[in-house]
Amino acid sequence: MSNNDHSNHPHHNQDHSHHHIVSTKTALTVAGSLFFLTVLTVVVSRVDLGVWNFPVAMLVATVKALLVMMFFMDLIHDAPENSVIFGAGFLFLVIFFILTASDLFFRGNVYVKAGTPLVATSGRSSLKNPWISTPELVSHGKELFSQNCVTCHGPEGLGNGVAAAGYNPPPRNFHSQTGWINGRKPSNIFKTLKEGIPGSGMASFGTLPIDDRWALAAYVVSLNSERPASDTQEDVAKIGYDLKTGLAAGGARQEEKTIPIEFAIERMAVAEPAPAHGALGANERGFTSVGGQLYQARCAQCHGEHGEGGVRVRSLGGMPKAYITTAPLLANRESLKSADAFNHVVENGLTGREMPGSADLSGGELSELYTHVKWLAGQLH
Amino acid sequence: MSNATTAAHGDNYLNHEKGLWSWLSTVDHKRIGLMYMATVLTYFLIGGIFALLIRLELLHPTQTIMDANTYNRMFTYHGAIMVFLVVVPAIPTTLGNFLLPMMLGAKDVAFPKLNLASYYVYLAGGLFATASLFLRGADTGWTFYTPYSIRTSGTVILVLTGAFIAGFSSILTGLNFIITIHKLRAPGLTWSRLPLFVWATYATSIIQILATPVLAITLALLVMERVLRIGIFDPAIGGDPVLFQHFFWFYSHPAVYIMILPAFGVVSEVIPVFSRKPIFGYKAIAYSSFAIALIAFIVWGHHMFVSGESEFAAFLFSLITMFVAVPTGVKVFSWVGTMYGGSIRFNAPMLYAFGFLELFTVGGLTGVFLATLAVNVHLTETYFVVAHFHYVMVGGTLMALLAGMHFWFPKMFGKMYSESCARVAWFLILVGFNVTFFPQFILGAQGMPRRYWSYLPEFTLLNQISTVGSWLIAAGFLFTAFYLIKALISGEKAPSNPWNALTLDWQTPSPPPHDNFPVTPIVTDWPYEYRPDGAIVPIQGAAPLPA
Amino acid sequence: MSSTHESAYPVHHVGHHFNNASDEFEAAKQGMWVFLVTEILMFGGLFVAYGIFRGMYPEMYVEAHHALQMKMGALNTIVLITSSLTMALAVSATQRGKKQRAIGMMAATIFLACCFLVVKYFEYSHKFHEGLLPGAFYSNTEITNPKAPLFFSLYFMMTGLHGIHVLIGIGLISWMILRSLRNEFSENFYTPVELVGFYWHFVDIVWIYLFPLLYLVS
Repeated sequence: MSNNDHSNHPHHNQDHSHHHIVSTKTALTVAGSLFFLTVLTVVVSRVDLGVWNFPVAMLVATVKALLVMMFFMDLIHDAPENSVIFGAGFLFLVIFFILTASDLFFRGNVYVKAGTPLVATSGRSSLKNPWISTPELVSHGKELFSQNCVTCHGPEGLGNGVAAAGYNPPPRNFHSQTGWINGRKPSNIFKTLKEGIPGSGMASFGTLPIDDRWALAAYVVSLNSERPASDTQEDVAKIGYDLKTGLAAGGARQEEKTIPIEFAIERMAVAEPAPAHGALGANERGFTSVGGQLYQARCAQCHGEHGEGGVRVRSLGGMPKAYITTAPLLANRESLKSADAFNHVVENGLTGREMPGSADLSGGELSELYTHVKWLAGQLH
Repeated sequence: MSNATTAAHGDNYLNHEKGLWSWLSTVDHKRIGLMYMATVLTYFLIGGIFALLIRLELLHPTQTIMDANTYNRMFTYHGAIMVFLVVVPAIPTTLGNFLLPMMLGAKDVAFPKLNLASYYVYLAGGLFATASLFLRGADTGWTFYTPYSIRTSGTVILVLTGAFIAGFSSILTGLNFIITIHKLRAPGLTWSRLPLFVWATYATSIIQILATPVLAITLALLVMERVLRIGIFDPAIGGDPVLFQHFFWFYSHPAVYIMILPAFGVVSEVIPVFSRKPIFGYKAIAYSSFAIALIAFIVWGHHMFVSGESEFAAFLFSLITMFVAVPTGVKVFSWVGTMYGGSIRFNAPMLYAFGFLELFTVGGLTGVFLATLAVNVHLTETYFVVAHFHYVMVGGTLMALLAGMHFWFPKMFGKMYSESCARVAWFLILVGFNVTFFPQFILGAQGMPRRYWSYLPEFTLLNQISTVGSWLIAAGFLFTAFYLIKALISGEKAPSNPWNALTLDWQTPSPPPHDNFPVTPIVTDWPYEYRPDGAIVPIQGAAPLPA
Repeated sequence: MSSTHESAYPVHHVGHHFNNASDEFEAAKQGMWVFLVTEILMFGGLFVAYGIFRGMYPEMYVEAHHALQMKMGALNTIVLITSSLTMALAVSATQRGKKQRAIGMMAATIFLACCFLVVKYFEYSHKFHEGLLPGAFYSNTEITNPKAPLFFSLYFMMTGLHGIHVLIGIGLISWMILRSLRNEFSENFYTPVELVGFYWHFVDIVWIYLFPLLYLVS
């Protein structure tokens, strides 16, 4: 059919039977409701509804918008597909927001699954009743204490470490019997180690493996001349410890998320600009010898590929500084003057510093590592 | 009712009105389609010259023909022109404009004046973007990432304005097509009888109208950031530079599907015609276009795995991205299923469809590598990514455009091109493409970063192979231009339906008359009832064609 | 259906590709809906930025929004809703062929839109005076939150883009008045008026959301 002939064509009329006209009465009613809702939303905003203020304001706005769409724009009498079209606009806006928020509102969350090779800690303690002190636990705790706590709490746990002066409230004196915020029982100290004490300089040591925290608790308890009461079942349950499984239930979720030290250091070590001496020929022996491989696996993260130092390492203990920087492994270092001195540092770590001990190395490995580090030191001028 | 007789006397859309002004002011979708085609091809030439210069520069590890700053501008313009002015509009505005109303049995698109307006908007956008070339130029890359795009001294605003304007053209075209498909289908042309090219165009149009407005506001915010320093993308006052990437990719990832979906449509038309078999999985192909369009909107974060987005978002986006492979795989499977057992004819359009299948499959599968979070960290910002998206964009979209141009050339101009020339050109382009881009996969896996003016000496050989490949492609395109222009001037007269195809666009003279159809066709069946003997099943109720 | 007025009005020519005027009207109307979807997503970018930063800096939003004059915002909400009402009445008057009434209602709409802009002008000049400016131009000393400039960047971008839409709306409605005066519309052809009405209601909807988001933060 042709539309060439435009004059007096019946099809030129819009068919009124299909097209709805908004009546004046409807329009006035809708406008009245909109005025009312505007006043309502202003009034409600003056009332403190806590977190509900925002949803209520949005709900009122949406009702207003729907009124405009349904009656002023007459969507209720329009073809349904037009409602679908207009609704799709809002739907995709919501998708846009949610997925953008999935980034910006979750930045910095680190998800580490328990059991991956990176994770040294697990939610399970290898001890049966770790809250009951044993001599082994105390001696292990003492070792850990010297590495993690002395800077603030002092070598005897008197709260007089070198960094203590900077803290208000001052670090706890473990020899006093009063003023313990979480209590003095092993389970209480475990809780403090896990969560820290907000408002004080006591940080969370949740990054320490679970057994290490129990060991520290046992040691701290042993320092005091007056023993606290033993932990009851309730005490242990309160910190979320399931007696049957040995899992830190309740806390298990958080335990899953703890970051092992190695992993954290790997994440936080920020390489400084490379030293000027450039390529040191790491390929020559760096990756081939036993010592070189050990060095790459255990030492290079902090000391640098070539022992050049200068790598920033996040201080994970109670040190006031956020970062420490490793020094170059120069030959005139005390620890590089003899194999024994070297072995001692490597095996035991440096007390109060970020240098961890690696007591698991065999004598042969230690000697290979020593040779390699000496070689690296010889390359540095 | 005089159209049928005038058509018989040779009145068609090309000679319906005469003179330059009749073209510039036309509202005929077919003429607008041709104007788009001429403009898109012009920009393709410009972008292609930039590509050749980039490859030439990379012939040697150090400076070959230009300095580093010129190189940065070169890849910025190559990217911006090819994306915004060539590949995004390539198929919808050219083939889409020309074919959509004809496939629907309509006389024009729903809003013909708007259609002409979107052409001029597109032209203006292109002119803005290219005008900046003659000033200082922009060196941000086509993605305009903040903060560099805020700080650089280049004429970024002009390029942004160009892309902003071109975006509106894309929106208007999408809007026009959606309404056309909704409202102007011929009697009997139900949704389940629509040609697959129409389905693909429809899905594309939906993306165009939902995603492109976000590009507009993003570019506007970036301009404001440069002019007023509003700080939304500036961390100094709490803004977030990665937020720009979210905004940008909310458009630009779906835009990738704006580029590829119409290509799927073209291939879905070409393969059954030259296999002489009903299309396999009609509904699967039609609906998978929608699945792709939907998923397109929820995967953009995979461009940002190493930009510092949260691990949660990275995990989410990596997972969803994998799902894209499903509807895409459904399509590839259906095309192969259509060819299986068919009597395949190796005409030029079919050869390009083969090329499309090979290149797109490689491009698509390497996309799965890149979607894998851990692998992405190694491969991102390397030549692997460059090779991947060239396999999809060039290997996919451009191959399909060439398939479509060869398929519908007789319909558009009423002339036949030389089949043997077309095969030679196809061979050159296909081989040249693989020679150019396959080595880039290897380069990327070896760690050669993209967007660098120089590279390590050990990458020299592969880079030189790649550069030689670019010359092969150029030769192929020049040859294509030569024989197509020759066909325009002195080609044989084309019959109205040289390929024995069944869609409505072939049931009208070549070139079509001004009103497309002598009488409005009545559709009674789907357009894919092909038979091996090549006979046309008389359907669609089209009027008998003039002799 | 053919009205007696028909000969008095210029006949609108239906596009050659449509079967009849009703199809053409439905197509144009749906085109407008699709266009409004693009508008939702264009404004949407700003709304998303607003939401993200509100989630990141809730206290800053509370602190900064006190600088906005809630009463002005509420007044403008009432003004804009009223203009939506007059526009809706203008559309139904056109649909009934009541030309004088339609023109009057459209003129009222323009008047209210101008009122909106005047109030907005006073609000803006107050902000300029107080140094409550976007981004780097922020110079207010009372609101000291270092992120506060971000709020005013968003405020000016959102209300600015909305204001541009109001200006365009004034232009479009003026054009509709002109075409009404030229007797182009009748109960048989009123597509442009209805579509401009849609556009104007959309501008209203945007403001309905902007008002609580910017002025009523708590």
